Amino acid sequence: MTAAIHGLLIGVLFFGGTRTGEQSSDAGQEGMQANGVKLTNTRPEASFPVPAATLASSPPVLALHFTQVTNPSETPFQIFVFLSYRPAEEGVAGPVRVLLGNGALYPPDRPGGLIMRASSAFRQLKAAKGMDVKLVLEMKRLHPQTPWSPVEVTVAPPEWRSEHPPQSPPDLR
Amino acid sequence: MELDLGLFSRRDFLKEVAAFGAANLALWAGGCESCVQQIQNRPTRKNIQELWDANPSDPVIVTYKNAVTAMKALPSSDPRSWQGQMQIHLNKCIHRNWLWLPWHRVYLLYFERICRKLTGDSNFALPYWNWNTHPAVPDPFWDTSSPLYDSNRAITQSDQADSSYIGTSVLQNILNETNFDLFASGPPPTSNLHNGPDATGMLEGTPHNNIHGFVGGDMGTFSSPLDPVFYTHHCMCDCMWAHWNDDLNNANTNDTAWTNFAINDFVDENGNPVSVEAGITVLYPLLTYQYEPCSLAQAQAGAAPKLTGKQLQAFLKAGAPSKLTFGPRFELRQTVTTEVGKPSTTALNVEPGALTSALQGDPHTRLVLTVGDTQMPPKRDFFVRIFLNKPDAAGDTPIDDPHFAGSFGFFFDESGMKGQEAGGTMPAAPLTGFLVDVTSTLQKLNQAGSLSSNQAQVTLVTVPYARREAAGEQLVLGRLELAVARF
Repeated sequence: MTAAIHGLLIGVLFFGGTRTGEQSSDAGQEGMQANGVKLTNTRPEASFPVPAATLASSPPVLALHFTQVTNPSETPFQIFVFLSYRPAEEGVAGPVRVLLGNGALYPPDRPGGLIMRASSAFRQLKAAKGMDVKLVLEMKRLHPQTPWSPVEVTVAPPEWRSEHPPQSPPDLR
Repeated sequence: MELDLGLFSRRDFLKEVAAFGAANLALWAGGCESCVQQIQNRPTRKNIQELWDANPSDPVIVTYKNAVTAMKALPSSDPRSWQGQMQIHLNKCIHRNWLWLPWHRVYLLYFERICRKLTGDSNFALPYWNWNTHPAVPDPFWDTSSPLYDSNRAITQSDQADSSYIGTSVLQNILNETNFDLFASGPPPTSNLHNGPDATGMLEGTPHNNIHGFVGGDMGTFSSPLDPVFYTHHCMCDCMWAHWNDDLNNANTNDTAWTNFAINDFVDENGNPVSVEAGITVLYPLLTYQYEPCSLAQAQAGAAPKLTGKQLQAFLKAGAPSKLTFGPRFELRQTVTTEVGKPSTTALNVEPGALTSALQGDPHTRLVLTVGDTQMPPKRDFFVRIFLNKPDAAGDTPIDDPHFAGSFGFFFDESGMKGQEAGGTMPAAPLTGFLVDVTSTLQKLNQAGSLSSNQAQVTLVTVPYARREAAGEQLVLGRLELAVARF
């Protein structure tokens, strides 16, 4: 019984650590380009600035387009998208990251993209009076035990969108 | 006799259909007793892992095996054959826009009918793989003598999909989305359905795409229907869509570019081409089949059921629905090597004041030490204790010492690793990592005045398990990180 509990504890540490082991620090402005950014296996993080006008309007939807994908080994990966900010609150050095969403490409060697909701991240950002706001992208492989092979993903500048209100189900009675 | 939706004109009951309630269904079918009976008795798609756990020879599993065998026996020129069904997907599949859901729904429906026809089992309903409650590819797909086995997969039976794409909190967030474009993907922006700019929504981009990548092999490509697990994966996606519509009362788009889109890529059980408008597929789960609820783990009300060993493993891997936001991180990016009997100490430089709120007991802040990029030791006859600010810690330092922060061990089945075919070489040891909550230890040290404001010393002590000869065994880790996590 003790051995079983010990095994479970080890399992918890193993699984939890496997995920958190992927966490890494902000890449800052690294990877920034005029027309987009590149995520690569050697530099899997990049960021976009979030303009003041975007912050002011707090668009509810974000669309990202991965316009070029080079992944000859078809290594599966997913991309995590965060809003990163430095909170105004004293004692919190930041930056703080709020996850907007994460997703993969299928197949993993073709261009694609993701649309996701940004509303709650902007609400959190406003509540914290966040500064130095960036959109941070982080690429992680799906099988952490498998080494990276060369992967390069070009990300177009983010497309912040408003949305039409969701439709209501029609009354068919 | 089976209710054939093709008999009904879309215009008869479907104009700008979004959600369609059961009460409406009864009203619509009130004049046709046999229709009502057929609808009520429509086949139920069930959770394949639960079927297996109850009875590995469950008729659904047996029929699925027989159907795959029969389809593989057909000439590849027959569009109902295993190759023929794959070719439809390879050449015509729709992804990355809002037509992917109805297109695959039609695909599953006619595939299911072909299975029934070829096996003679008219009650057969495709099972689904609930990756949320069972994050590993279900057991029926791992018997190497079974037609449900695919040797090309990139994973093993024990590998589990990550909770970042199939965890309850992630899926619940997707189901909570009320906007069809965000839930299901948006309109195709060009006339090219297969190669235009992208509008991938959350259901497609997160669990759907990631599961394809996770399973890998055939599943990682557009030839994915070569792997029998493909149909059960898409059945789960379809179940989530049905749940989103019919139980959560969310509306699909009423754009006629969606409702009127004609899906012409499939054949029926007799090999005859079929044409279905996307809008009518909304009725399939209400009229032609139904789902045993594809419930999410921990989403059920009432007392938690007693978990089996496998369920418990899945539960632990899936994790609780929690959200951690990592704030400041203090990282050492250099290799650290420690050896059994030879502890090693490393200093992490910390920004003064960064740990203050956690050290002062903020209930929403934890200090987390990550031991990352750790090479799995070839022999695992030892475990590791972590001490903070105690460079003289050794194997005999008691764990009630105030500097003790936690420990971790290694759990790894190398026989399950890919690439260990006969005659092959051993693959490189995988990297792993460990997470240790060091908040209370640092708080104690802070209260005792023995914590520097700008540095934390981490000592790793490797300790052999009882009755193990571990002298000389090494542990190599690539990264140490102390982070402030808020929740």
